Amino acid sequence: MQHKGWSIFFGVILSAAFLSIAIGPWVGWWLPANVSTFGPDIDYLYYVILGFTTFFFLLTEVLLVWAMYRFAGRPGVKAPYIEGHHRLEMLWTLVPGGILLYIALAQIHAWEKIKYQAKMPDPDLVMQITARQWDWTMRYAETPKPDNPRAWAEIPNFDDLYLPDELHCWKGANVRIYLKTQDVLHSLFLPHLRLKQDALPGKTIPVWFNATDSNTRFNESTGTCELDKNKVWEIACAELCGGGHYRMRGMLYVHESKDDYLNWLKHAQKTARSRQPEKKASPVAAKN
Amino acid sequence: MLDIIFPKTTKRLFSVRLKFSREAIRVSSAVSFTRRVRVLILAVPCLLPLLSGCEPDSYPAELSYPLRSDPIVTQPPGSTRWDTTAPGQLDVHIAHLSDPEIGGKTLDPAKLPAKERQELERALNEIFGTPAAPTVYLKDADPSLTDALKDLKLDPETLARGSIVYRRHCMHCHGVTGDGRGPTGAWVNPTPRDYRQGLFKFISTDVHVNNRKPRREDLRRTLERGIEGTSMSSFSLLQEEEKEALVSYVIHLSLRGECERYTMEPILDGSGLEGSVRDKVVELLGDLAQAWAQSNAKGIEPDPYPYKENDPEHLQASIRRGFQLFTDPRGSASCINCHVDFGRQAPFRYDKWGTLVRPANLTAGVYRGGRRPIDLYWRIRGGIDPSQMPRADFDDKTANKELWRNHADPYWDLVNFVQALPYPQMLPDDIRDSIYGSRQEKPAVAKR
Repeated sequence: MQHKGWSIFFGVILSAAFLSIAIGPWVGWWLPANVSTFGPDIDYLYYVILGFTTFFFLLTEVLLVWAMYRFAGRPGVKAPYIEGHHRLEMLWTLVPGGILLYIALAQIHAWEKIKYQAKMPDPDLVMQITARQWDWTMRYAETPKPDNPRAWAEIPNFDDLYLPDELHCWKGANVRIYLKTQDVLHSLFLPHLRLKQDALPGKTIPVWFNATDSNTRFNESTGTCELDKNKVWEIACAELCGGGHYRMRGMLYVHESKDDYLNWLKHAQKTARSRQPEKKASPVAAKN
Repeated sequence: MLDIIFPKTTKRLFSVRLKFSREAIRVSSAVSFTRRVRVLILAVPCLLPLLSGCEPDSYPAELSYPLRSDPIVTQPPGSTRWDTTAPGQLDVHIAHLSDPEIGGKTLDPAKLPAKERQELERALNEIFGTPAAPTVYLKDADPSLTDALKDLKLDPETLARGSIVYRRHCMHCHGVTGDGRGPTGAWVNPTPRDYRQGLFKFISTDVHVNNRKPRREDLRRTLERGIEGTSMSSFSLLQEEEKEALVSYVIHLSLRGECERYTMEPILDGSGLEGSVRDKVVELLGDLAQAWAQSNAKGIEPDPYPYKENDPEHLQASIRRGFQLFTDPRGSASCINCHVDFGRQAPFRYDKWGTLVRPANLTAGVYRGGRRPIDLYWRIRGGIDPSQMPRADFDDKTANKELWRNHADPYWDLVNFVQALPYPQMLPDDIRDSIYGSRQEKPAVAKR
């Protein structure tokens, strides 16, 4: 019996592993809300691949546990020696091969839409993001779209706005980001936008997105952006870049409209060009 | 597996089951002791991931701040020898400074007599508490000190909160005592700020305050924006109260470090203390808290901008005057003497921490103290004391009569020039040519 015990042991562990994933959609462990125009393409691929892997996970693990139970060692019984099975080998080489080929073909459309530089939509808003250990510096041009975005990405302008960790855009805008890094590899990851792009030292890499939902309204009287608490869309670094990797957080602010964005931009530029110290006392000081 | 570790329990479990259970009991009881241990050893790493999440947020309660052991730089060398110390060896580098060849002066805290060491440790622990329960507290403190500490928000609750956030985000570079010698600190260049000298670079404190310290908002700004061109990153997404608590905690560390340093110094250099060690610490705390509170209360208020905003003509004229002020080697500002070739060929020098620094390359468009005009104004008018950048002092309008006649405001002229300097298209043609070379040369280079 104690030999069969192993099959029970692994059977329980594997079932628990499978269940912990399978309950995902009901306990909030699923894909975050999608707010990107190309999000459905990415999600479709996720689900296709998840379907394949789930099917084969169940198939192989059930077979494995069954085999452990069925062929557990018995005292006095000698195990047979099996040389192999040519047809089976062919089968489990060709079937995964066919699946890989299918995935390779199925993703072409999404790749073309999202990553092909020639096919990127004409931008409404251009910005340049520089990653470094460990934060993001967003650079905004004087106007949402500079005359020559590519040249502007390489050569900063006098009236650019620099802002750490805050990515502002508006709903429905085709946003073009020129991604750079100052030091090591980083990866700009916006889970809600289904956008992930590595930043390579020495390269300027264009990425784009178009947000289908907004989470921010700029309040002109207080000069702050009011973020919808239920729609907190964070930016993360998806490439282990050193000790502070975990704190390369950023925040995505999608304004309701272009006007709202422009109001914010004007305010931010005014602050960045300030010639007087801020009048606003720090919040803690104000309490006393 | 379970039956190997706990044969008796499994025996009980299985004994109610099928008929072959009897055989199982016999076999599992026969499992040797070494095999049981081996399986136990395998099981422990499986449990470790569960345990690893249980670490508490704050420092262990029994940990106290260690006394300073790295050399104290009392006088940085004047010469600008190229530093040959390997990276990650800050203390080796600083210990070298006292070589006669280099000419700096350092003191070694290891030479502190045991009695004084004990007294100092006791006094510091009494006032500043432990990393888990930091305080700035003095029994029977006089009211002026209490007020100063209140202004600086150094109450135990804020400090305890600050210590937790500091441990998570800052400690790995800035160290437990704020010495800038955390595990990752040695590997970044420039090295993380060592708060214990009470020196900070990017401050907006009024120039007439004695012993200028940063204001709370200065520390806060650095925290929120990070320092461009260094490894200090932005922490703008921390919660409001976390940032405020961090600022308080940095002040706490700086006060502790400075009290420690300036009590050690007279003992080590032989001049001796007048009273007891504790008296000295208390006296220092009083003075320093005053200096911090006074600094916090008064910032540099710039004169109103004398030109029309967004007027290119005014701006160009102002840039031109700023250029002259910047480049005149015998003028009132004479920035060019240190920022040689606008910083592109600036020579190295030692700052007050004993590390090598360089006057900024102002053509690069990277401003460590911030890129807003007001930031540049503060740098120019206030100077950067610890890295030995003097302040431009035109405040006395009678002594600088000519200057004020030629410039609507010489400070703003300098700011405008420094701001435009990295962007050739912003400069008047002749100035651009003198800084970046003539345009006509460019096609000739391109042809080759």
